[in-house]
Amino acid sequence: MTHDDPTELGTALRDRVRDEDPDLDQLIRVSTRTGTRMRRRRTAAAGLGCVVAGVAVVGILGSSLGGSDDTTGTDPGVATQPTPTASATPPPPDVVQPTAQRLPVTVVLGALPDWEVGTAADDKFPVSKGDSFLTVVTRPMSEYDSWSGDDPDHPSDQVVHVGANYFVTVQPADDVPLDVLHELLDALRYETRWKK
Amino acid sequence: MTRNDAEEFAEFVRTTGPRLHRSALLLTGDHHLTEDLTQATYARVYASWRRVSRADDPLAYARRTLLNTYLSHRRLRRNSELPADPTLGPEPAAPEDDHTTRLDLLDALATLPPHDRAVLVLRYWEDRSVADTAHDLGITESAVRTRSRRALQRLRPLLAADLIERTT
Repeated sequence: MTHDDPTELGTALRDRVRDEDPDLDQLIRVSTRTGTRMRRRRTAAAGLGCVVAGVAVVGILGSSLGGSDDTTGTDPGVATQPTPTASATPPPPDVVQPTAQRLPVTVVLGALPDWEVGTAADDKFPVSKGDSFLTVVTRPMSEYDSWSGDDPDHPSDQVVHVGANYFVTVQPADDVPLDVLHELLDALRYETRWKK
Repeated sequence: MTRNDAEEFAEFVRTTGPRLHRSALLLTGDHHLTEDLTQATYARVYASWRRVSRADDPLAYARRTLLNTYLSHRRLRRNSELPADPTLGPEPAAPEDDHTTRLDLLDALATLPPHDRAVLVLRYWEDRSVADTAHDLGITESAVRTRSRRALQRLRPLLAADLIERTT
């Protein structure tokens, strides 16, 4: 078998699954019900997204994000969290200050040239690309159980990383394309522990 | 969502469901996971149905959703980071060629890393080109060729004799 011989493997794969058929009625019923819940959540999240986006715009305008050529003392292209004294000097162009406190999740901005990462409060920060708005939230592990089941308000498919003492959710606003979501996920980096 | 939208969606599932279901089975190697993956895929498609139904190729959207859902699920379950470029990871050791332990094709596929499995499914089940496969998975064409070659090398000693005979 060689990789230049796709016909044989293709035939074998088709033979293997030829008799495998889904229950289409159940598939339609379940996916419609679940999809309806997802759309409702997105609609609800869109309201939050607008609010957060507004905070992001203020944060971006209020910071020197992208406004300086100074790259001294940082890992280029990687978003970092500020120390309490960091505000005394302008942050380098690719450095974002997602929150007022240290978070274990960072964004590789070099991988997201068309994105904006905004400043927010608490344990979350907004990111956006064009009309697509998403919110990255760091949560304590004590909340993880409620995000692991079928709670429609805590959808498990929004959990994108589980650390030692925390987990991260990414909440897309309405109609964020999956490609955009995964572009963001690929650019997120995580520390082992959340050192509050 | 209007009644017409729901009917259109149902028709879309009836038309494409068997194909995506089989793709999901080849990816997961498990019937329960296949059911979950297929349902999650169509749920996401339904959630964006008005936009998807206007796309040039709704099936392509559904296929990419299936892949993304599958790979994201794998990422979450693994509970650790991926390398920045998966192609840079260490090459898995090839299994020993033990002819007494031939595996079913699904079991053999299940021994592959998720991205390698996805490459094989796209290339040889979906008949996608190298370029299309690279685009679907967000990796380079070179990485597709490398993963495909490596996956086939790993599969060879695991597959049943009849397939070996047909593919050598």
